[in-house]
Amino acid sequence: MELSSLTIGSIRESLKSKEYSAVELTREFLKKIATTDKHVGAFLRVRPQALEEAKNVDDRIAAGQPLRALEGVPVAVKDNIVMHGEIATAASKILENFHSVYTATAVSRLQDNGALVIGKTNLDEFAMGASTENSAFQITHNPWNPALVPGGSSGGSAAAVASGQAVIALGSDTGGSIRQPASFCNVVGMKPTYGRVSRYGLIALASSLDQIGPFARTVEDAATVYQVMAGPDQNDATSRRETADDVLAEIHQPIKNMRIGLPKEFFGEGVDPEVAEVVKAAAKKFSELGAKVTEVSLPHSPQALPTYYIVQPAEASSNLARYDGVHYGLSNRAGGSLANLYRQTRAAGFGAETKRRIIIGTFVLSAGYADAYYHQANRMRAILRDEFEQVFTQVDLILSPTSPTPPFPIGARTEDPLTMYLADLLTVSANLTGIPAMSLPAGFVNDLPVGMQLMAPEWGEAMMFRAAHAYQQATDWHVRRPPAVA
Amino acid sequence: MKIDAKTVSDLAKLARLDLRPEEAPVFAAQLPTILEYVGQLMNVTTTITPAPPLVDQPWREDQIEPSAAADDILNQAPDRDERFWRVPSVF
Repeated sequence: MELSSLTIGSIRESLKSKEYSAVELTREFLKKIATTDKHVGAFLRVRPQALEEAKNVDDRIAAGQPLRALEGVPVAVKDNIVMHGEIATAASKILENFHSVYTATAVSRLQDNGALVIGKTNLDEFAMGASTENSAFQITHNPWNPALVPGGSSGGSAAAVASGQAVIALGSDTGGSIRQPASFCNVVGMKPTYGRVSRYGLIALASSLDQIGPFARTVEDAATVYQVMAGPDQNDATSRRETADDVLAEIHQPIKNMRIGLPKEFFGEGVDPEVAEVVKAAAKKFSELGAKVTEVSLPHSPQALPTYYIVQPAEASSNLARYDGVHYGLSNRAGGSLANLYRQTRAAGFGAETKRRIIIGTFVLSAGYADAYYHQANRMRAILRDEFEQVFTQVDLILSPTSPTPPFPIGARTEDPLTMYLADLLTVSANLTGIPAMSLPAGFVNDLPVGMQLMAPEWGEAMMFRAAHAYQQATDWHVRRPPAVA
Repeated sequence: MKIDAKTVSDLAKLARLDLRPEEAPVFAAQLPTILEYVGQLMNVTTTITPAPPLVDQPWREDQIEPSAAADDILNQAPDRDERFWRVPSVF
């Protein structure tokens, strides 16, 4: 059984025809993880209970019940997304033994549709990072070259799908944390419109930026997972009432005359010329498919990254104040006073990047500086929103590289935080403005994957998936597999 | 403003965060570069007023429902006294 070639659809067919059972399939995936993960390091924890859950799937099929959208499909879930009664660490020592008392809505929706969670994946601590190197527990290796990072913060989920350890995975994206690892690992990764997928059960990093989204090897599979998760949730006050279009119904429609814009600011300074070339070639392919490709301009987009590195640390400093050693998690009481409980618990429980961002966030919100930094950043967000809205009156989709560079070596950017922050250069705009965005395989530079990023207006996921699917039907970058592991 | 080890230490205090002795000077060296980078926003003059965040939830009746999670939550307490979390003294 070639696990790396399986899709949601092929599993469905095989279960129907009894080529294999859900239990057999789950066993194969658990075996694959057991043999390969010592090299990849994608998983923090495996879920053997997926086998019992697989038995329920087989019982349902035997009883003649109709197959649900994700019946029997093995899914890996980023460890900042919680499941009832199970450990969720957000890759931090401060939550090393934390057991969640509820399950994230996104996960419930997958499970209610037959998906089987086979494990929790590695991430940068509290989703802060672009390489997964900030995990308190382990390094994840890029399946394409183990000396390189898989990207971050959802590096474990991206690597699991790329290496065939899972068919689909969930990640979270605050500034590019699904899209950039998708680009680095040659898989599809997508961030919905803000408010489209419930954040209930996602350990919060930046509440106005975070979204849960899918990883898959094909656009169609990513769209299926998205469809299952999308829609309002009364447990998330920021989730929006817009009903998700049936993206799967639209996905096969041709893209003739679709207008695609290439923003010149996303192909210039700070972007590797070879990466830019790969994406320009993809733009040509879109022209061949009948789309109208033009150049557009987003003049304030160079301000997006500085804006992001004010807003996100500010919100993070507020969200992470809850980790105080009082209610759950690590609790260092040696200091004898409440103040020391807070300070020493957090000193021991948080890694360097987490502390750095809390300090930056505290600074930009502090009296005397809040207007110049935080409020100015919010003004810039409004300017960027207007600018994108303007451009979307001229084009239907925006196309750019996802990452300014191909995957970089483990350890290459850990000394200078700013070099790591620059990895988010092209992805943060979508989070700041709330629009949906995705990355899909577009080619290779020196045998390393390069993804392209599509961005759509708010609620424009259907159009985005349509264009991405059309591209995948005409190309085969996404079919390439990394060198076999073990 | 000058960001030195003392500024970093003061900010850490505000965030209820102790830094290890080796961390404060490292952060003090890194933070000025980061803050200078994000500070470029100050060069943009604008009078735009951002819209308030949108909350789109329908209203519902305030009905009390049992919460099954209470025991699960309390069972994770690092230190508890029946249904209270116990903490070291404030003073």
